[in-house]
Amino acid sequence: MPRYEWERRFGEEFKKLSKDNQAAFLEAVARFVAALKEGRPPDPGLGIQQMPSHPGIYEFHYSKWGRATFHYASEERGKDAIVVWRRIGGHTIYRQP
Amino acid sequence: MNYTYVVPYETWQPFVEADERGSTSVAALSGLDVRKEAARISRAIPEMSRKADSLRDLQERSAQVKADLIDVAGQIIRVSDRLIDAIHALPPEQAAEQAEILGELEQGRKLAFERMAHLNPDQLWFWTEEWQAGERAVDRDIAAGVPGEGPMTGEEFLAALDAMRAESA
Repeated sequence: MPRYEWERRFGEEFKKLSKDNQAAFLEAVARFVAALKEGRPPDPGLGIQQMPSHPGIYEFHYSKWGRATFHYASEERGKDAIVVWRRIGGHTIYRQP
Repeated sequence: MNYTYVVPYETWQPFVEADERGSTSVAALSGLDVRKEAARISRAIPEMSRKADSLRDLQERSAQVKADLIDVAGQIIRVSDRLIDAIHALPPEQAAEQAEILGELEQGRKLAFERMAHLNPDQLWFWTEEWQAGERAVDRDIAAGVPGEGPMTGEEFLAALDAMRAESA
C-alpha cells in the first residue's frame, strides 16, 4: 500500500497557500493517491515527471500555475511507493529576483 | 512522432513545367507518360525513404542535444547556487576576498537561467533562485533528520492535509 510523508517545509508552505490553491492541491493529489492505490498510471494532467539535472525529484501540477515537488523514499513507484512531498507553491513561484 | 517529408522537386517538376507551357496537364498525359512517371516515382521511393530516415535521425539527435543542453544548464545553476551559498556563509572578511568569484558565479547563473528559459520554459519555475533555495533547504532538513509528517496511508494523508487546511484558516 502506498505511503505518504511530507517534509517540514512542505507543511509550512501548504499553510501559506491561498484557500483556492489548497483546495486545488487536495483535489489533484486525491487523484494521484487513487491512481497509486489502484496501481494505475497517474493522470497525465498532473504533469508528473522527473526534473532534469535533479535526479529523484518529480514535479506535480495541481493547477495551471500551482506546482509541488516530491521524491520517492522507496525503489517502488507503484502500489508500495513511499511518496515524500518536498515543496509546494502557487503562481508566485514564477518570480525570479 | 510525426514526420513531414517533402517530395523532391525533381519528382513533380515535369508536371509543373507541362502546366506552365499550357500545352498539357496531368490529366492530359498519355498512358505512356503516366507509366514513365510512375516508374520514375517508383525508382525515387527508396531515396525518399532514405531521406525520411535521415530526417528522423536528425530530429532524434536534435531532441537529444536539447536534453543535454537543459541538463548542462541545470547543472550550472545547481553548482553556482551551492558555491554562492558557500561564499555567503563565509566570515565577512573572507567573503569579501571572494567578491570577484561571487560576481562571476552570479553572472554564470544568470546566463544559465536565461538559457534554461529558452530551452525549457515550462519548467523554469523550478530553476528560480527561490525554488532552488527551498529544495536545498529540504535536502538540509533531510540530512539533519528534521522530522516532517508521516508515513501515512493515502486516506490519512488526505485527511491530514484537510486538517492542515482547516488550521490555516
